[in-house]
Amino acid sequence: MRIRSRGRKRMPDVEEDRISQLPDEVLGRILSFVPVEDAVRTSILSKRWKDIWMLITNLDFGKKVTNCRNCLNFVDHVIGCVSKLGGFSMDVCFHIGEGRMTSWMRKVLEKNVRELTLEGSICPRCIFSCETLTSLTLVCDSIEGLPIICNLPNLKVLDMSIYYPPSDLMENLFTSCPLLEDLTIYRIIGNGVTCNLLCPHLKKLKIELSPYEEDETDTVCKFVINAPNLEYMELNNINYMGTEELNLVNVKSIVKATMEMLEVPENLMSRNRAVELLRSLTTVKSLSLDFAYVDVLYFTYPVLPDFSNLKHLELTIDYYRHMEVMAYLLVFFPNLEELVIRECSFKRKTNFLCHPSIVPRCLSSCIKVVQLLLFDANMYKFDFVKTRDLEESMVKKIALLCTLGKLRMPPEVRLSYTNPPHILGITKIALRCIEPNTSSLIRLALEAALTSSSNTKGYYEKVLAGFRSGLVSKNRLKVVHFLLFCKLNNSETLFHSLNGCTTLVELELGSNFEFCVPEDFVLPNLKEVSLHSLIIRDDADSVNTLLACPMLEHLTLSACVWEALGFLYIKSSMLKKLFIMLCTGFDVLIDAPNLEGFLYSGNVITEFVMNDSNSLRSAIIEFLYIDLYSGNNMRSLGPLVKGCLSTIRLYLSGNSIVCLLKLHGFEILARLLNNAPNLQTLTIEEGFESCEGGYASFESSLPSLPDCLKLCFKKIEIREFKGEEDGIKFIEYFLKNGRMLEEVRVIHLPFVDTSIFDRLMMFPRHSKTCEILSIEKDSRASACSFANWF
Amino acid sequence: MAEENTITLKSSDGKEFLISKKAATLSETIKAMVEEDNSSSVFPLTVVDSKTLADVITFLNKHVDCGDDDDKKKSCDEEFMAGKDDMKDLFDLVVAANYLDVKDLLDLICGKIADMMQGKSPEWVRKTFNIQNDFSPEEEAKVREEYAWAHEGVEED
Repeated sequence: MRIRSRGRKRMPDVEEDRISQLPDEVLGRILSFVPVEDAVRTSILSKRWKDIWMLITNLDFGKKVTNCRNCLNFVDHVIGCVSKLGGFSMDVCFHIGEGRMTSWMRKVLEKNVRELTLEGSICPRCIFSCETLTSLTLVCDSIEGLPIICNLPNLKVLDMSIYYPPSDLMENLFTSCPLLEDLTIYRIIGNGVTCNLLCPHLKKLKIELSPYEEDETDTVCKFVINAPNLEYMELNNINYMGTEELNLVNVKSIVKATMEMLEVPENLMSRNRAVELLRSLTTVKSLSLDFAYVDVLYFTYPVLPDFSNLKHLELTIDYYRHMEVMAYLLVFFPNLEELVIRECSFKRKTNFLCHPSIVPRCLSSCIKVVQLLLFDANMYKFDFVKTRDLEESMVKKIALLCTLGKLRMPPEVRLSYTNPPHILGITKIALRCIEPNTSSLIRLALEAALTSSSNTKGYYEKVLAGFRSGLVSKNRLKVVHFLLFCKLNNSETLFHSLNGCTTLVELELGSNFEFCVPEDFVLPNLKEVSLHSLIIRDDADSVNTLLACPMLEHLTLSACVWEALGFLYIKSSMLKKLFIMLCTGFDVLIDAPNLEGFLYSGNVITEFVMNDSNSLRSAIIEFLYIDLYSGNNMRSLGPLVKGCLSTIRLYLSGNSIVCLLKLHGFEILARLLNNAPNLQTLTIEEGFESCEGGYASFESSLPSLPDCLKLCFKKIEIREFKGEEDGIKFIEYFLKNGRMLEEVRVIHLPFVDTSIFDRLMMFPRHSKTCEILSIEKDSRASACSFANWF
Repeated sequence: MAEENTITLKSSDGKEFLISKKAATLSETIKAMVEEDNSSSVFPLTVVDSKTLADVITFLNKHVDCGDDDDKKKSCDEEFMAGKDDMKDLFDLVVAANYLDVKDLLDLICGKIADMMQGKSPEWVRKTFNIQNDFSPEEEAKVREEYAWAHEGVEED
């Protein structure tokens, strides 16, 4: 004791024996959570603990009980000592013997046990008669012998798995537990047994039967389910090969049902039974059917009542077999909101889909989610592992396509095809299932791995031919966006197919094919064209033909290769946006008087002329690489910037500034301001260090204040600011002279001494409303934002 | 309105906690107190300190929010128990749960303490919980003999 009290002073909380101070009933409760032998072992902890274990209310012997004398005596003793028993659980070893097991169980039952779990080879019959039992779990190889008296008046949960249970048990058990709420039956029920499930309180029912052994195929068993309060039903492996009969006599409250058949029954009667079963489930909110069940419906095409409560449906189907019957079934589920489809593809059928004559109501009004889960796709002939993602997305799209046809007012749908061998088939489906005059906005995308030799069989040409016959000529589809990324042998079929399509608004083409637009090509409503990685050979006539489309407003050229002589002459009075990115080796002449947005990003333009661009609002000029030695690409920058001077917003990248200052000195910025009368926003990346003349030449080139600073200049933003003295002076000039200035924003590199900004704050400001913001560059700020520029 | 639906619990160290009546009466003890004395709104709990009471109140509020959803309760309980490894806190809580008669909390903490004991030798349990062995060696041997089977195959920790 002395030692302990000294210890207490040192570490009072750790050394104290709190557990022994707890009340007996709390200790009993703690020990009820551990296996019996752990609880009993506490008897040697101290005198306080010697008999505490006898207060446990739960005996969990697990798998440890064997027929050794010590062990049997132990169990005898423990069962004898424990006074109150809530739960009992044991894996019963065969060697224990029926007699001993029965005597144990009698004692356990006498102690008013509520929850009982027995697994193993012995199942004493006395357990079927116990007034206090509320939960019984039985896993048992067999029950033999005398007839069983069943009386379980308080049983609520029953989970049983018994091989060939005696027929008298199965017939009487369920009627003897009037309060049963949750029933699970596993394994085989055979030998002509009738299971009478007359259970007024039953809420959950799960039946899972194992397949019959071969010599047992003659056995017939019958379930009669009369459960007016049943809410959840799960039937697994119900085999309708004439071996079971399942009658739902009274099930008016079912909310959720999961139905699974092992095999598709071959005889008509069994199929009809399965359909009958489904008909009696009209109250369900959630229904799941497996492949075999769907197959039964495929064979029978039954007329079903309206499942007006059904919100969630899960089907396992074979796409090539069941799409049609699925479309048919949807008619009976008018309020469906979620459709989950698992795929289980066994055989190919070439006849994909019929055009349904009735549009299911759920598709036009209620459905919110269509989820597709790939279940077994090994049947595809090509390498599935490598193309898994592509394949998956393709399968999803097929189903989307098939439902699409029945959507009256669907949201915008984007169809992307990724796998060449299937495109042809899918397109056929699309063409067949999409209703004439549908008001759908459809974005059609054909994409394929660029490296693949996927076009060897001319797939895309065929698809495009189909596109023409199905979509354009009959004008059945309102395709607004068409995207093609693939390697075409020639682009003639493409443009032939698209020609004249009145609904097409956006066109995106790539990649690596020779771009050749026929002269008579016109898309009357085309507004946006993006050309990626195309090879242009014909002196840009193709581009001009596209530009001749009367509504064209936006042209993007990215990474296109010019193999033609001459230059790109972009002449259009409609064009509002022009983006040129990473295109090399050609001169550009732009004659677009209504151009509002211009973006140039790249390396080399040999000549650049822009005429009449007075409506320009935003211009972004980004040089990616400067050849300082030859200066070859630098000279074109001056004219490029000059062409944009009427803009309201101007961005010059760091390389652009470096290049301009290198060629023309600081005074070029003065000239820029003098000649940009509309400029409101100037955003530049700092590159002042490369300027030889220095800031002095800037100010000396501005004898009078430029118009823009007098009238409209509002915002200057310097990115990548390194704290250069010339840069500070440059900002000072704007602060001093910008009459309308509203914001000076400096995004500086982390190393910049922030005292500079104190200096900036002290500079005189002509505009009293001008704000100065300094922001340290981080990953967010470095992502150039041009919100609202275009 | 607010006053009718809430009561104040006062810890042994004098701190006051506002709690909804609905959450508070998950405790059978508080329920009985409230039913007995309908006029008061402050109920002193002389055996629960403020730290423990704050924990208990967290638990009660979570359980009221969960309603009858057992899955939700389970995840709430896991969240509640996360990081509760301090032996003193556990015993304070189990005493409080027992006194306040909150069955779910009592089971939760008892289960946690049981997990610490499961599969362990008596020596380990004594050491961990600072239980003083007051048996003489002969007495201990006798008790051990009595339940020899329970001691078979226990690994020395």
